[in-house]
Amino acid sequence: MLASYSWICELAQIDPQPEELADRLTFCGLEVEDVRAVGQGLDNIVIARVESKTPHPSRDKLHIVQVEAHDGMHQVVCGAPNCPPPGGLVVLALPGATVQGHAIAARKLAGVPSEGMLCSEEELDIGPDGDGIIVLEEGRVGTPVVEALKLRDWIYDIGITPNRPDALSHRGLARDAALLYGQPFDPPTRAPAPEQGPEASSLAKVSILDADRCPRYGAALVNGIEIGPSPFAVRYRLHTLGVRPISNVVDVTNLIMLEYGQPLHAFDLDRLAGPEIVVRRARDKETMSTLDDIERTFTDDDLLICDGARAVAVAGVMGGLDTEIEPTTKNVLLECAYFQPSGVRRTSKRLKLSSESSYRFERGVDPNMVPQVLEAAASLTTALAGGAKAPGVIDCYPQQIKPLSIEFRTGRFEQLMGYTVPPTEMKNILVGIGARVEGSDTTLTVQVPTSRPDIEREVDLIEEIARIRGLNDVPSVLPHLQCIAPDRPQFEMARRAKILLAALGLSEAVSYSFVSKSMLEAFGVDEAVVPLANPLSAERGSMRTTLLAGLAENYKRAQTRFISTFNQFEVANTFHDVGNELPQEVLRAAALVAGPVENWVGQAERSYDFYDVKGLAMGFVREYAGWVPVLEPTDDIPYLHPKRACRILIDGAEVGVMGELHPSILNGLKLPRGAAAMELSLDELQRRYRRSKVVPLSEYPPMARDVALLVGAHQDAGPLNEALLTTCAPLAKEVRLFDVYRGKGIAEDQKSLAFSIIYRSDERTLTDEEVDQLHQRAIAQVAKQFGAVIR
Amino acid sequence: MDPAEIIARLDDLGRQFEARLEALDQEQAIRACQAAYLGGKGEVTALRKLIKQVEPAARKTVGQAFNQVKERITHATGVALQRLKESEERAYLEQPVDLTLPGRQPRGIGRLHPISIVMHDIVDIFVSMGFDVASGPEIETDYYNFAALNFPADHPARDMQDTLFIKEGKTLLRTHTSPVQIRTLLKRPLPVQIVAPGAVYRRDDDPTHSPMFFQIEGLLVDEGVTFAHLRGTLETFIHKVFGKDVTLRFRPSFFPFTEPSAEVDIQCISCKGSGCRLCSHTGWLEILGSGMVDPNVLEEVGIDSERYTGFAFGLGVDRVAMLRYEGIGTIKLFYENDPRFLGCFRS
Repeated sequence: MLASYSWICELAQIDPQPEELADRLTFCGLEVEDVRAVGQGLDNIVIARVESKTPHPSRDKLHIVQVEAHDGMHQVVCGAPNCPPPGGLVVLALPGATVQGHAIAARKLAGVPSEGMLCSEEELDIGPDGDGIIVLEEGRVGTPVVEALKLRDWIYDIGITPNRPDALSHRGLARDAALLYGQPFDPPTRAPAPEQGPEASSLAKVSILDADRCPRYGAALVNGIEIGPSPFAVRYRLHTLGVRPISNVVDVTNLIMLEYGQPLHAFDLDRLAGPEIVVRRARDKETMSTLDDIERTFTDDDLLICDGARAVAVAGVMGGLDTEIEPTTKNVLLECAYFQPSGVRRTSKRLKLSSESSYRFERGVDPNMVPQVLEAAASLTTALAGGAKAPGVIDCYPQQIKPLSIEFRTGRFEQLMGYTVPPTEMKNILVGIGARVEGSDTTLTVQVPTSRPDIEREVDLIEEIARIRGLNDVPSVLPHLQCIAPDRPQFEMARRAKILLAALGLSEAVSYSFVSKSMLEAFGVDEAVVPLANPLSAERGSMRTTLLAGLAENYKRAQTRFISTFNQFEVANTFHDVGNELPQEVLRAAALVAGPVENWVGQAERSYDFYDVKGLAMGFVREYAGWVPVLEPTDDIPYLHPKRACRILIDGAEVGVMGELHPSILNGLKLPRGAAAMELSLDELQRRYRRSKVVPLSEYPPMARDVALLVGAHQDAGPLNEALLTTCAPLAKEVRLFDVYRGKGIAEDQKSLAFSIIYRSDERTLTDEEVDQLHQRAIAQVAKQFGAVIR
Repeated sequence: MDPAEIIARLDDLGRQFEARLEALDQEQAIRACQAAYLGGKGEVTALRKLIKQVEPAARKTVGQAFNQVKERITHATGVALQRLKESEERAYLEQPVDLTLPGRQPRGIGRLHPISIVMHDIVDIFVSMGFDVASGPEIETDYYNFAALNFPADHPARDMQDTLFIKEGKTLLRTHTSPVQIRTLLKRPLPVQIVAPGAVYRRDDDPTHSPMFFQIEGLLVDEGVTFAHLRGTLETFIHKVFGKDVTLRFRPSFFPFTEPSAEVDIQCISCKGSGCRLCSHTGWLEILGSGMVDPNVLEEVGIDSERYTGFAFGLGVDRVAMLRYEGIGTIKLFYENDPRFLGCFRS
């Protein structure tokens, strides 16, 4: 909310520096986010009197004006349509002044010398009027405009938290300010409005049909007014506070709202049927046009202000078009009511219509300020628009809202805050916020003003005391925690996976949990996806069921930035609708490697393929869970290549999948061929975690034997590897495939597999003869089992 | 057989061996050459068979001659091998590399995401202070995310966090990590002392807001916990992350689930308080929200708020990462995962 420094000071009767007050407010919970000086930079701009006005010799729209300022006569060429005749008071920018960023200097205008410029409100940024120059009612010639019009002020932009509706007003801010400066809060009072004619209650009738939604409705009538513009000071104040001045009566409602925080509405009394006010719920699908000229349709949960015939306002939100103040309005009914906050909020949300009024009502205005505000509004109305107030006010208050009384054990402050405050200081603060305080030093009875709906409990009083005193001298004490062994399964599961995958040479990505539906469709995910009800965009409309969707987006983005090699992993949750209230969240690890492998100088370039991701997956599963998984070929994972993909099994249970990405996915994303991916469930892996175990470390030398075997071209190498290892277990310690060869010297339907086998005993040194025998036995076994022939 | 002849021939073989050795510069050849004299089928071995034909009296002399030549050959071999080794070593010492060729990095060096690095560090600090780590789901019910945290229905406090819904008004993407407070308090016996890191979501997307970001929630509930403890804990934490000389300040504020509430600023780590662009010339950086757990929250989970008190705080991980690493202009960079960006962060 925008607030005027000078207005706060006037109400609080204090005189601090603008920056200092801003700081003090910030440190009592009213965060001043910005301080803007207004009415500055207007040097050499003064009040002047028009002495003569003659037409310009060559230009129709221009006048040559002689004006008198403090330093004598000045000739100015002026093009304003409202340039006054001799005697009129205007605002003159002398050479040396700066107007809208431009330096004013003596120069010729259409051939006639001009020593300055007559200014409009808009040109000086002191009001919205740019149609004509400023013409003043009174003022002393030569007075700087800043002084004459009291322009100097500082405008605070204060972030008011939703618990402080009272601070959405200058009085509320001033109350805290006065307390911070040790001043009793005693703002200047207004002279009451002149009264005339019959009692207000005899001129109009108010009835409330829903007292829950409208506990109080008050109205004052002012008759015989004249609609016109407000005086400059009022318009200037509204302008600096971001409110457009409209007419004296409407300006009054806005000014009173800014002062008291109480929204008001002014009805043209003569346009109200009756005249009568009825507060009732809308009928379902009832309609009315609001001030912004939009026809609104209501439900029976909306509260309307009606006259004898029809709806004239949406309670607490916005007035109706039909009864708005017009230039001809003579008699007004000023509405000042208390509406139930949550009801106003529901209507405002439903209509998607938030106003200064609804903003305050939904936070809670003070129901017990109604008569006082009505008096102030009537007083200001008669001051600005003339007329007289009908004696008394109409006050319909079927549901009394009484101030709360709270028992406050002063010792509780230290128990919660960890330091002490003398009881007298506590009392002073609570009195300062407007409470009535009684009782002893140990127990106080605190009656809280209804302007503070946020204070309901003892703890709220503690908060008030802490807030006003500030929190920066709170002592710093470390709690004595009973250090238990930290138990952090989920966090550790993710962290271990991340560190491992980084160690495997991949970089970690953190992608949005929501992706586009089309991306998930591209992945062929047919399980129930969790969609968002109000996504920011369709691109972010569905919760991901696979981390690969996000990684593929990252890869695509890297490609558009001319980065061809991609290797990233992600550890995060995927989301799956399983029919429960909350979707299932599965912690997964996924990796995508794609593009050309970064090879060393001179080495042939190649793309990432299945074997790269296999290396990653096998390494990851072994390190993460302590298993060498079984790989089972699969052709039914829609986003993986049907012949270059597999499921990853531990103990017969699937823990993940891997393979090359299906060409259709890559084509769809316009990505080049050569991308391999894996995705594993960390929950599944963690469940099967095996502790590390140390194997016996043989002290005897190993003996190596190689063998090249001819087998059928489609024979997998793995089973031979396994047979070579198991046939001579436990002496065969390791079998390594070191070459696969097809081509010259070998029949077309055959290939050669070259293995190196390490034999080693844990108990003694093996002899050559022994190893030769073992080796022959192993070869004989694979010959028998796979028809392999020594090459 | 004439012993002198044998001795003479042995002498010849010794000289002959030494001459042949001169020409050899391969280990294998040297060993083969030695075997050609001393091996099973070697010339010296062959000559040895003749010793039986020597008269017994002279055999001792001949035997000594055999030993001498064997020693001579063995020694010469050893010398040759040593010489070879030395020359190879000399040659190797002369082999230069091009220091400017790239090192082999088949897959580059893997790195953790800056968010993870910072999150792990923060969690470690709190764990070292005795806090446990808890977690909760990212898709939450209205109850855990709002209602139980003292956000009444139809209350403007709900506007403080623009929400992404799964089912409007029922299930949603959690807007903060605070629902973990409720879940943990319902599950664990007191005292509860946890931090809860994780992704959170808001319906906000502009240069300074990302619809997904990361928070770390802190919660301590026990008998006798005070605001002074909150200060002590946060001060210790800030000093460990940003250094001992960084001061912090509390600005009273409002969160529905804490009372009193305060936002915490740290002195700008870039200008040390004199004012710069990073801190918008205020000298301070907003870093977290905190406060004493509201009694309504404690009562909601069945804890006697007269007996127990607690503090809670919520810290933006992205914010800390942006302060810790220079040059992250916008929060968006975290979630674009540009490989060049990810390559910038060391633990």
